[in-house]
Amino acid sequence: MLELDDIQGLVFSGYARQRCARYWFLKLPVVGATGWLSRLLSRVTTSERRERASDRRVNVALTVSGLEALGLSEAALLTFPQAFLRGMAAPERSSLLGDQGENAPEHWQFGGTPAGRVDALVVAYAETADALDELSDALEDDFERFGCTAHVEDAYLAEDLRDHLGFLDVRSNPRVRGGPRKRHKNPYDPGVPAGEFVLGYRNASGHFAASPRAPLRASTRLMPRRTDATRALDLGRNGTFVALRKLALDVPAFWRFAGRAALELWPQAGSHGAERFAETLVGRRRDGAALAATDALVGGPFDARAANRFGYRRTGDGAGCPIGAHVRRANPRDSLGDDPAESLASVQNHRLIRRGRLYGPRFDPAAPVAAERGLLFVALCADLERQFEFVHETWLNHPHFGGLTHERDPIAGAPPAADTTDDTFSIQGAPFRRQVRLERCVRVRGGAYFFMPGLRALAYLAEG
Amino acid sequence: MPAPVGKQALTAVFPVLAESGLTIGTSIEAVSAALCEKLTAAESVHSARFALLDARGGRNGAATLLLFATIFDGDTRVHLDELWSRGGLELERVLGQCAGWTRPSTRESFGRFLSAHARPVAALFSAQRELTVPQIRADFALRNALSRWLSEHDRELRALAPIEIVRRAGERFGAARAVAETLGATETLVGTASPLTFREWVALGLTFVRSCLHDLGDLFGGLWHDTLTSSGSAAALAPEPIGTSGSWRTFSHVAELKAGDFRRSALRLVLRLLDKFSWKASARGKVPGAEAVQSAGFVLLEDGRLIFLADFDASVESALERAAERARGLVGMIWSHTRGFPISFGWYQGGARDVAKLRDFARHGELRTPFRYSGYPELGPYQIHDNAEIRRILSGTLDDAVARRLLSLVRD
Ligand code: HEM
Repeated sequence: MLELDDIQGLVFSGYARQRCARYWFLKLPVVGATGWLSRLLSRVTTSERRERASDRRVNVALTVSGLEALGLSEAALLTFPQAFLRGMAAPERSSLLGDQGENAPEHWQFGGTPAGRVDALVVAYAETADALDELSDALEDDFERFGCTAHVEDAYLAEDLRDHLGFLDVRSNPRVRGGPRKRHKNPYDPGVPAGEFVLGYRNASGHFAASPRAPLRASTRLMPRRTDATRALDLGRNGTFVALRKLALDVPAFWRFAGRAALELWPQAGSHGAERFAETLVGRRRDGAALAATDALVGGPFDARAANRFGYRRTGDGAGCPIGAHVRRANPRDSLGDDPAESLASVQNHRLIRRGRLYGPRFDPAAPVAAERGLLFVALCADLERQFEFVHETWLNHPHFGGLTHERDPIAGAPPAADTTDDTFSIQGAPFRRQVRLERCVRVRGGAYFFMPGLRALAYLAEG
Repeated sequence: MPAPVGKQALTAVFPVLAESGLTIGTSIEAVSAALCEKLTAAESVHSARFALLDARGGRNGAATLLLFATIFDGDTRVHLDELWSRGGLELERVLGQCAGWTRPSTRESFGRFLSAHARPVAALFSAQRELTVPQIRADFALRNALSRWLSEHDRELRALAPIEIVRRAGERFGAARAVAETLGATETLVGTASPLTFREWVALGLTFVRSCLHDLGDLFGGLWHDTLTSSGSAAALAPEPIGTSGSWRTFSHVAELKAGDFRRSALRLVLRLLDKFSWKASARGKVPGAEAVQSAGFVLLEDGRLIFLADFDASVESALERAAERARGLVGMIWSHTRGFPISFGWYQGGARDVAKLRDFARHGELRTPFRYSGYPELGPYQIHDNAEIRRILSGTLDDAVARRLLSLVRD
């Protein structure tokens, strides 16, 4: 049984009703960080049902430096997994994630350099902008009182649930077995055990993911569970790891590029060509229907229940959905190797719960506003290496994905080194594939790995 | 045991002079770029690496051992000569820091030095089957030229039937094909491995039973800790090296054998039998369940350590996962005799199933590899085999199905 009252709310809910959100990337004070966390504790939203009575949500997550600031000993810190300890901006992480050139951490707005250090992430969600401001005032009072400084980002879910490119958010998140939300059975989403996202529970291979431990101490508060013969506390239990990336999307540049590419590919397509091209890159229609499920780019009404009920096997050679399309790379479903069942099973080891939100104003070609806009991408998982980093290294950025030779994800992939000219995207089909040269419109602007502890672990940390 | 389908492995281990123990890694890195460039001209070399491991108070009081390993085609003598003539200067700079290197060095003294320190490589696997380095490169060039030609003539070709497109491609790439065909003549014939004899089966069975008994001992020793601790502990990990760019990865790993004569003799037997398996796998061009592996092999050191050297076209994470999913019996058969391997019973139970613990084991024993070279770093086994198929189709008899197949092989 999941201890929902100890698991932070973001794990099992995307807070779809709370459209407005604010993210604070905090630097914690040298003294007093525990005081701040104690104050925050009562506001933190859990996954329990009764929490839904309130219309506001607050969650908190910490980086290594944040845990240090809260006084966690070095011995305890070393029980955290290596990817988390090293952080998203470490050189070997950058090479796994493809953060090179202008996407390299030294150019990031936060998280990439010592000056842009992030100790903690506080996220607040509310149904209206006014409610969010009210909630923010209360939170910011405490930041000020305890000497926390913050880099702030506003984020949102659009009313029409569309992203900057007009794609419907179809919430193709994995079905968590034993999770609080019931989902329809889906042969292409067999469901993953909670241990893939929450520490302390069995994962897809029947084991427990690496979980950090902390020394036992006398306390009046409720403590995390003890772990093993080492007589330590399971600090990880009910916690999850968070990978956050600020991905800027140059929307006008994207549509200019899409228009040119469409003209080259389908000169007769007219004004819809650019949209059709965008859909081809993503692997879904903008109304959410999967290309692999619909076979045709136009026609056929969107069916929300069918939106995730599809595999790629039927269009194995990429005829319905290009092999390298974004959603196919991000979740290859049944398409890997020779055996569809084996592929589906293997893919479940690398699922992510996505909780990303948009930032920056939506682009309206009729009244263009020059502003930075994009996605505050948030992924939750129990094992950063096996899930978040794997998806980047082995699927999004792997030039040999699905039998290709040199291409990378056309949306979220890392551009190849500056001296190569082969940044292309291929659309397979009879009699042979078509190919266009890509223009990269996504840029990494910030990022960090966080640990989002369970409530009892937070209380433990707040005691210093 | 003859080497599988013409591929050979050279692995030599040298004691590093005491005064160079701390600096040898840096000096290897200093020559790395030049050596890579020079080896590109060496047609026999599929891959090469230098790795460093601690000497365990070994010979000559050395604290560090240097491992040099290559996978190559053809005769060892010729290979050594080629290494010397291409990269002699850089190799001397590195090997000159090892005990026993004589100056002035010559082609002969280099050959003698390497032969004297060479170790037998067990269970050598190579995914390249009969393909030589020039052949693989020519196939890749042919594929790229074909791909470019398709893009450049997209409009006019699209109007034609597949068989006509491929016929034109055949005419167009006649010259490239001829190059490939000439080199193809050097391809070695695929051999067949003899099946296990009855006695070998019995020996394997007995070893399995005895392994179970030994595992039981380990199990009781580690049960308490193992069942109550979640997998993975970062504290044990060595700092992780920065991955190479591109998709090709090199993995060099050392594991210490568990105490007792049995573990050593069991491992010897398992490796001897694996020789047959890897022969078959090499002939097929893939290890079932680990299709991204380019090459792999084992060296058992006299000090009781097992070295595993592999090249693969995948992330370390995905290679480990495939091993845990598809080849865990095999992985258990080998590494359950070594320390630090996740607790297992009977080669199949436990052990590699826990991917997080397997990852800790792999990382903990990973060797620093300051130099790595591949003759075709942009290619994985899948691409190599597809490119060879493109060449074969272009030079063979055409029909509609074959023409469609060829066009579908050019995926990007
Ligand atoms: C600015 C960059 C990005 C854009 C514009 C983008 C866009 C999209 C769109 C339109 C979809 C389909 C709709 C949906 O499933 O909600 C999607 C799905 C998805 N994206 Fe992204 N994405 C971006 C970055 C990333 C990154 C960095 C990852 C890294 C893991 C990622 C992973 C996924 C996954 C896992 C899916 C679901 C695939 C499925 O289950 O079929 N995306 N993305």
